[in-house]
Amino acid sequence: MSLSRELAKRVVALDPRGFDSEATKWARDAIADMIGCTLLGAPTETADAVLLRDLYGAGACLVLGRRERLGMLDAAFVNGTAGHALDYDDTSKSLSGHPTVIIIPGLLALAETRGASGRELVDAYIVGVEAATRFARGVNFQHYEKGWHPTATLGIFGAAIAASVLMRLDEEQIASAISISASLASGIKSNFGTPTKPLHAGIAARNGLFAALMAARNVKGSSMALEHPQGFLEVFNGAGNYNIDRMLAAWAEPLDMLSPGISIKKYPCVYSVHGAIDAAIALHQGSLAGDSTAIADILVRMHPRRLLPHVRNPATSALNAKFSLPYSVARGLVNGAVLLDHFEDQALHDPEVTRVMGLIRMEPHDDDANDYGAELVLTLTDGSELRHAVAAPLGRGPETPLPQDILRAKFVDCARRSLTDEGVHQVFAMLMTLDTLPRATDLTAAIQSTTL
Amino acid sequence: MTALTSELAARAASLSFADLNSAARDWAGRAFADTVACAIAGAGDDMVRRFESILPASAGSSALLGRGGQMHELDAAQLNGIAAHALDFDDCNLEMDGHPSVSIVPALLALGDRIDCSGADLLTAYVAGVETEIRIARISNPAHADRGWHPTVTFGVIGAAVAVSRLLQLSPGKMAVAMGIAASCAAGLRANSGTMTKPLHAGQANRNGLQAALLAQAGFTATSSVLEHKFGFMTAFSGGVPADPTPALAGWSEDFALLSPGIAIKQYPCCAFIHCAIDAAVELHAQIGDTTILDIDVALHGRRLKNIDRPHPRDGLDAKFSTQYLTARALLTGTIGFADFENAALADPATQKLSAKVGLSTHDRQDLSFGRVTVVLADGRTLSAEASVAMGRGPDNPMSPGQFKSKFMDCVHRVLPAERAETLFEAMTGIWEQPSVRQLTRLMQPGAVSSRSPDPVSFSAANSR
Repeated sequence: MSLSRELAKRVVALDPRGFDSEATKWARDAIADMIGCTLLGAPTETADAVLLRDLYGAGACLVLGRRERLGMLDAAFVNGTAGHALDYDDTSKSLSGHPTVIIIPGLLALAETRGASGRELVDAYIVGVEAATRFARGVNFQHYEKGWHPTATLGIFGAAIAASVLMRLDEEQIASAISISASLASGIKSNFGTPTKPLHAGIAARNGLFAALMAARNVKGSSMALEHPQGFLEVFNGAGNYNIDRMLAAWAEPLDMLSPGISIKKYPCVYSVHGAIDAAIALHQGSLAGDSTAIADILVRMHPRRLLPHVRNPATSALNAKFSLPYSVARGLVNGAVLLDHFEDQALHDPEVTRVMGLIRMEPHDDDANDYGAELVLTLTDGSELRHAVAAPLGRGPETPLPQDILRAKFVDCARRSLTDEGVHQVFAMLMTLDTLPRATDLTAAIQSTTL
Repeated sequence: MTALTSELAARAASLSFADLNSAARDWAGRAFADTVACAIAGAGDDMVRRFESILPASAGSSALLGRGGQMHELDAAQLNGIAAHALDFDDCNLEMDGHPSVSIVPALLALGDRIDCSGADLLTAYVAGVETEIRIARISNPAHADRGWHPTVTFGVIGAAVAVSRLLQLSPGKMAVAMGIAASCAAGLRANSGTMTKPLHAGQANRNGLQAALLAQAGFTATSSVLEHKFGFMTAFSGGVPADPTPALAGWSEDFALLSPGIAIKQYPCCAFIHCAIDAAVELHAQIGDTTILDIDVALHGRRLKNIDRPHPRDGLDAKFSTQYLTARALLTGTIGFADFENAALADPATQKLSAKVGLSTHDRQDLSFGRVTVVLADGRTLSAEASVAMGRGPDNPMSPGQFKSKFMDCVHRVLPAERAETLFEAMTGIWEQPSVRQLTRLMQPGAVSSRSPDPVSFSAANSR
C-alpha cells in the first residue's frame, strides 16, 4: 500500500455534488473571513516586506488589497502571509491550526489563471479542508507538541490537494502532490510571536500550490513518502506518535467542516472572552436598546479555565486590552461591537467604557462541560435585572452558527483598511454568493477595482 | 545555555577573505567550481524544464546557468539549485551526511549577479555558509540524518541564509534573524531520494535561504535563537540541543570544516555512499577478465544501507541509489559515467543478469565510508577488494588537477563551446581574483557573450535597489 495513494483515492472518491449545503455555507463564510483578514493584512509592514521591493515579475493573479498582479506562486505567497499577518483568521479543531489561509491563496490564484467558477473554488476548498483535517487526525496533537506549526506543516497537504482538485488531476498525480508536499512541509514554533509566523503561512500556501503544479507535470515523489522509515510520519512525529487508520477512516462521514468544524474568530482579542462578548452584544442590541447608561452592576460567569488572571485585569494598555475581559465586555455593552480600533491607544480612555468596565464582577461557574460558554447578569439603576447566556461563542462551530451580520461586521472592520466603503459591501455580497459566481476573476476584479 | 545562533552568526559575519589560508581558499574554489559545473551539466535536465514551465516571466538580472536568459534572483537561485542537484554529481561532506555546496552556490551566484560583487566576496560568503552548516551538522548528526531529514537542504537552507547574509554584509544580529527565518523553511525528507523530488529540495533551499537573508535585510524579524530555542531547530529536527556546542564554535578561521574532514568532490555521478563499492569493483574488473561471476557480495556500513538497497532501479534517477546495479555495472565495464544512467545501460541484459547476483551485507568496521566487494568466480577463485571513499575525493585524496579538469569539462562540454569552457575553467580556478561575478556568469551561459550586456547605468540602478 502507498499511503499517499490511499489518501488520493479518498480525495478522488469525494463527490462535491453530494456535499451538504451547510458545508457550502461554512465554506463561503470561512473564505469571506479569510479574504477579510488578507485585506486587513495587506497594508502591513509584513506584507510590504515579503513583496521584496517589487522583485517579482507581473502575472495574472491579484495581490489582495495591493492592486498588483503577480504569478500564481508569488501571489499565493504574499496573500498567504498577509492573510495570517494579524492572526485573526479562522481555526480548525482537527488541524490545530488555521486551514483557510493556507488553502485559499493558492486556490484563488489558480482559479484566476484557469477561469474557474466560484462553485469550483468552493468545492476544491471543501475537499482541501477535508483532506488536511483527516490527515491531521492521524498526527495530532503530538505533531504540535513536537514543535511543528501545523498550520503550515499539515496545511500544505490541504493546499496541494485543493489545487490538485481544481486542476482535475488524476489519482496518481494527486498521490504525487502529497508525496512532494511531504518534502516541502516546514515551520517551527520558535518563531511564534514574530512576522515569521505569518511567513510560514505564505510559504506553505506557495509550496502546496507548487507541489500540485509539479505533480500536474508528472513530477513524482516516492510513493512511500509518508510511511517510509525516513518519511513524513516517522520524521515529523516519530514512532508511536501517529495513527494511519485515523487518517483513512470516515472521510466525509460527515465532512470535518460539519463536525467538529471550523471556528471563526469574530473579535480581535483573546478567544476566552468571546462568549462573554457575544452575550454583551446580545444585551446591547436587545433589552438595552443600545443604551448602557442605566447599567449599575455586571456579573460575568464563565468556566474557571477562562478566568485566568490576565483575563480578569482591566485594560491599562493597548496590549493588555486584548486580554482583558472587563474591557471587551464593556465595549460590547457600550458599543454593541468589539472592533480593531478599540485596541488602539487612543480608544482606551472612553469615559462610559471606563465606567462600565469598573462595574464588572467575575465569577467562575461550576459546570465543567460548559467550557467556552458565558452568562451576563446586569442590574440596572431601577433595580431590574437582565440576563443573557451563550452556550459557546457564536461561530465556534456548526453547533453555534455564525449570524451573517456578525461576520459582516468583522469583514467590514477588516476590509475597509484596503477597500472603499462601496467596495467592502460589494465584495462581501459577492463572497456570500461565491458558489454562484460564474468566474472567480469577477471577485478579484471587484477587489482590485475598489482597492484604496 | 550558549547563545549558539548568535555565536555562530558573530563568527560567520566577521569572516573575511584574509582569514582564508591558501588551502582553504583553493579547496573552496574547487568546490565552488565543481558545483557550477554540475549546475551547467544539469541545466538541460527534464526537471529543470518542468519547473521553468510554471514560472512567470520575470525581468531579473541573475543568469540561468548553462542556458540563456536571466530571472530575478529568487527564481534563478531555485532553478539553478534544481539544475545543480539534478544529476546528484555535486560535492559531499561526511559531517553533514550530504551535499554542502548545492544549497549555497546557486543562491550566492544569483544575488552576486544582481549586485555584481567580486569573486573574493563571493568565495568568502561561500566559506561562511559552508562552515556554519557543517558545524551545525557536526553537533546534530547522526541523530538528524538518521531521523530521515535530507541534511543537504535542512542544514543547507541555513547555510545559504548565512552565506547570502555575509554577501550582503548583514550585522550578526540580522544574520541570526536570517538563520531564524531559514530554519522555519527547513524541509526535505530522505524518503524522496531517488525521485524527481530530491533535486526540488535543493531548489527550495537556495530560494528560501536567499529569501531569508533578503527579508532579514529588509527588517523582517524572527527569533534570534532559533537553533537552541526550546521549540527551535535542534529540538524539532534532531530531538534536542547538545550539551556542548564547542565543536560548532571552536576553530573558526583555523580548522576549516571544508578541509577536515573536508568537502569531497564526486568522481562518479551517483550516490556517494556507493563510491567505495564502485572503486572496489573497478579494481576487481581488471582481475576478473572474461571469467563468469557466480556470486557477488557487497559489504557496507549498516547505517548506509537503508537508502541504497535498490535491486531493481526503475530509471536513471533511481539507479543513482542502487548498490546492486552500480556494482554490477562497474564490475562489467570498469568505470561509471553519465552514460550508465541512460535507459540503454539500465536495460542491458548482461548488467541485469549480473545485478541479480549482488547480495548486500553489513560490515562491522567503524569506518562509515568503507566497502568491500567479494566475487565468487566460475573458475573457483574468490576475489575481494576494498575501498574507503569518504563521499568522494576530499582534501586527503584529491583528484589530480587533470582528473578534476576532466570532470569539469565532461560536465560543461555539452552546453558550452570548447573555448568558453576553457575560459570558464581558468576563471573559476582563480575565482577570488575575478573582479566581477557578472562577467563570470556570462561565461556560464551558451551563446554570444555580448548578448547580455545591460549598460553600466542600469547596472548601478540594479545595485542600488
